Amino acid sequence: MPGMSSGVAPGNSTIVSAFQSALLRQALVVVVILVLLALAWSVLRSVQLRNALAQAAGAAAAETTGAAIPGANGRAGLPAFTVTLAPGHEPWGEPEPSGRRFLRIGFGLLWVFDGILQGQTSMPLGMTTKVIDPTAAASPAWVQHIVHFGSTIWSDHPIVASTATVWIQLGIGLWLLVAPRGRWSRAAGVASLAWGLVVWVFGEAFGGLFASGASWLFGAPGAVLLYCLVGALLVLDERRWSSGQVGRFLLRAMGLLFLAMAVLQAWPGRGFWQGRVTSQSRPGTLAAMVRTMAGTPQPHYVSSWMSAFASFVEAHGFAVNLFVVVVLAALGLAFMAKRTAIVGSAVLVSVVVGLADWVLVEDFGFFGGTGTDPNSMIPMLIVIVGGYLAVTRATVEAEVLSPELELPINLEPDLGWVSEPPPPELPATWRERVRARPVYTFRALAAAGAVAVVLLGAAPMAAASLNKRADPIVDLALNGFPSRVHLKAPGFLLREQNGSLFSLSSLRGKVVVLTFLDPVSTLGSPVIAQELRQSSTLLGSQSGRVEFVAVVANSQYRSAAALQAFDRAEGLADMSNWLYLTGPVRHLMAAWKAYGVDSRLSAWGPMIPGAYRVFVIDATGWEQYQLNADPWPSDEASQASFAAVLAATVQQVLTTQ
Amino acid sequence: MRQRATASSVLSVLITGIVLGGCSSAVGAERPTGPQSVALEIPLATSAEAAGPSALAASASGASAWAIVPFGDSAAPSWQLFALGGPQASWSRVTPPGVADEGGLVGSFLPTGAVVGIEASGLLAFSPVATTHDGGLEWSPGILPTELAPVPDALAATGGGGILALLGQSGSTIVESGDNAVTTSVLTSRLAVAAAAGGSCDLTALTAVAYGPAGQPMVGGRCYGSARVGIFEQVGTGWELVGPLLPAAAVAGGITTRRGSSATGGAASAQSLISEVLQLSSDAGQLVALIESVARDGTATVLRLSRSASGSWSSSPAYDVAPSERLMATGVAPDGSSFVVMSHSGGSVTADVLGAAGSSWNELPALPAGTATLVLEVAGKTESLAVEGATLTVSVLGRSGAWSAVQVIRVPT
Repeated sequence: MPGMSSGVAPGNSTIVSAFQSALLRQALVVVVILVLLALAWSVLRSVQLRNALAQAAGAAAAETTGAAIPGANGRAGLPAFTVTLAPGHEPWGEPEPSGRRFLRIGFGLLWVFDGILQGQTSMPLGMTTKVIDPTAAASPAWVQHIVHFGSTIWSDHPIVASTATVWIQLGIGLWLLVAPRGRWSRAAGVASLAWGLVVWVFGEAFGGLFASGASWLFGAPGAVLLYCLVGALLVLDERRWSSGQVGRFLLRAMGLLFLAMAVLQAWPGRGFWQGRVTSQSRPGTLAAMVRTMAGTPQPHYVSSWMSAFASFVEAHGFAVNLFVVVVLAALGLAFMAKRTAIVGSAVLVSVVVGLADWVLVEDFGFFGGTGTDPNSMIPMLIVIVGGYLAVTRATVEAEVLSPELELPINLEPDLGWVSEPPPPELPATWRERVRARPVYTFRALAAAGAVAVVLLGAAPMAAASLNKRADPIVDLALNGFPSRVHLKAPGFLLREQNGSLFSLSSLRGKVVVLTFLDPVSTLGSPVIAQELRQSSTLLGSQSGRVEFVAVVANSQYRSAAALQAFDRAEGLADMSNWLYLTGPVRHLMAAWKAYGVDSRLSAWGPMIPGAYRVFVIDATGWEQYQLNADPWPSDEASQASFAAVLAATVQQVLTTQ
Repeated sequence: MRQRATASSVLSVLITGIVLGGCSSAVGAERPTGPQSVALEIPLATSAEAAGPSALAASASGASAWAIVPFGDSAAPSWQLFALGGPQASWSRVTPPGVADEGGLVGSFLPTGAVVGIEASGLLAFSPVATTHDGGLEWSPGILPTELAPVPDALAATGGGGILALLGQSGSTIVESGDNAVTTSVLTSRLAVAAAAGGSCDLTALTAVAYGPAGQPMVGGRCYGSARVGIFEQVGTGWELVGPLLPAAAVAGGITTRRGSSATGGAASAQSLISEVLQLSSDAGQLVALIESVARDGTATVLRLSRSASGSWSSSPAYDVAPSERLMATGVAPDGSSFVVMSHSGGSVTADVLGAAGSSWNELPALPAGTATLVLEVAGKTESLAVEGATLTVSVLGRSGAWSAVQVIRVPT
């Protein structure tokens, strides 16, 4: 959709500087969070130690007196003492299922990596132009419409959106890593699912599923969909993991996916069977994609081997696609087999093929300055291996969890007890666990910290999505700050469209926004007109105290009919605080000269505007600000940003009246 | 499917490209206008010869001509208007000032001057117009309420100052205005005209306007699925379909060759897929229409149809447009002769001329490189206007059949 994103260069120094400053400020907040967590950890450990010492003293007294001493859980019985179990073995009494742990840690690391990638300097402006828009461009109009909603939020608030994404993804990744069990872990799964859905819809345009040319080789059904899947699975009760139920589901799902992708890959007419479409002298679909990826800014050796692979595909397109179809179909069937050996072999083959695709087709996924993730192959392989582990380790864990077996136990500070330790008593509430279990305490605090990091990003992002006023940063990057002046606004005597005389002094008592517009301009003036209209809307109830005035900037097309046609075309005809003025050429030229507008005829036809400027004149007739209104790149983001800057400038003047 | 694709692609070339049109419509006893080149896609050109002397034509021949020529490429096009006149009978650039013209120019040229419309482009949503009465020295600006239709013959003017304009992407509205397009009023709409066609013509677009020999507004359009040519004439407050049936040869696909082949005639069966009026003009009491038809076998042809004062129609031999050819420009000269300029897939350009008697199409000698259009019968000469970069070269066809460059104009960029 035209104008979906800012045309400012992604490497614009103003934007990059603002982005880095925001990240640094937020990083300081993260440091503060860590400091607070460390303090909390210190305090809680002190409490735990005091409790332990008190219990030890009480136990010693009880031994002397023979009295029963309430345990740490308040129940009478054997003296309680703090028992710390080896990680992964407390307080549930059984280790985390291997498959679950593999997926949790794998996707935790992926989210952390993705969060780091979001910190690339091109992200604020490049995310929409180089990632979101191109992805959505191949999708149906309804998909583009949905994506446009999110893209607009990003374009209007590039700094907030880009920093938010960094912390949200870092936070989710850390959360998954530090919270292995229980509610914290399941909540992390929910967060992964929720944010994954947001990214899948707005960032990946539903993973390109509705676009032509979707292929497993290129990342279909979308990497983030796998993040969502794993997040949802982490919410499930661990018994489902332990029993192998989840693992079987995963493998069957992958099987069906591979079979579907095989059919898609084999579908005729999509350009995958040809290495080269000779009738049109262009490479086939796969070769074209590989060549495109090879052109991404990246180390030379990477692009060279991708180019070589592209040449190979062009020469042997049919054979390559046949291989891919056969492998996908075979893997799909193998994943659904009941024999573990077959599944295991399929896993191995899928890892090899997947890694080859990740390198040779997906190009690692994160080069180019705006890579947001390592594409779909790594997550998919993690899911496959995790599913395999979940199936093959299920029965093994059931044996290990037999209560007759010895549990690895580490005693807290030696309190002198020498008799065989009693079964560890699980604290009933999380408060008791916090008081009694240092490992649990640590993880709870770490998870809370991770949540705080997520909120550090999510809160500003939510506020930005509700803010209809674009950030001024884009316009400031393009046009600089408004110039503060204090000049007597030159007067002029022109005519309104109805022919009546107009003098600038007649608007005393109102703030005047003055500019010069060419009614038959093909680009600049229509853009500025829309910006003025937006700005008036942003002023809300204050717009009644402001008059937007344009003087025609064309010595040829300056009739009332021309101005009226312009007003109708730009939706200004019904704007109550809008005036478009004309007059004799000599009067117009005098007004142009007075305001430094060098409008003149070009040798090749159209008017040359000289400079695009907007003047803000206060209610007493003094010019207070001049804004550079250069309309380029004339997209939605820059227009909205300029409108916001102008509205803020006008409000500044209004407050001084 | 392939034929349909070929037919639609040919017509899409003609219809949807950036076009320039020149339609000179002299009314009644006024001397007919001169050659008209109607270009249908880039490069496009329009030229018209005013038979009478213009302010610039000081020569005894009184000959003058106009040409709209495209420069640049599809990424950065520009259009320039040239007029022929002056003591040296030389060409000069007279493009109307004050407005960008990358969308294209449409012109209607008269003995008394010219009206030029600027196609909307970029964010401009309506079309400025400009009128001159002194050969392009001075222009009076005007405004049309919306964009001109992107067809060659979207504008027509009378000597009395009236202007007909076809507006909207598919020529949905026809407006009429006074001189300088100061005020306009809606004359009719495509739907109203289509209603007049009944079942004889499935009118999908209006593509040409003109003032008829009696000064009545006339429109031409694209008829789908019938052999009836979509030419309509305003009668009272309504419209009447007056276009003839296409000749059988143009319909059945057994197209005559371009040179001296059998004349066409007779009623045609309803075999034609599409017919479109490319240009409509009045010429000494006759109504002349250049049309293109695409038969069901995918063959495209260009025909010149003429209606005499008595109302009977005659047709020229059909000009066969091969699949590898692209129609660049067409035109009608004041003596009734016509030409087509074709570009070929190899990059070459050829032109064929149909004489006034209309017996056969004759290919001109190889055209100068970069030829955008021709100007026929300018003071008895045949001229080629060729573009290279920002330079226009005017060449004249000599008796020996060789082209000689006579003028070079550099266009500001």
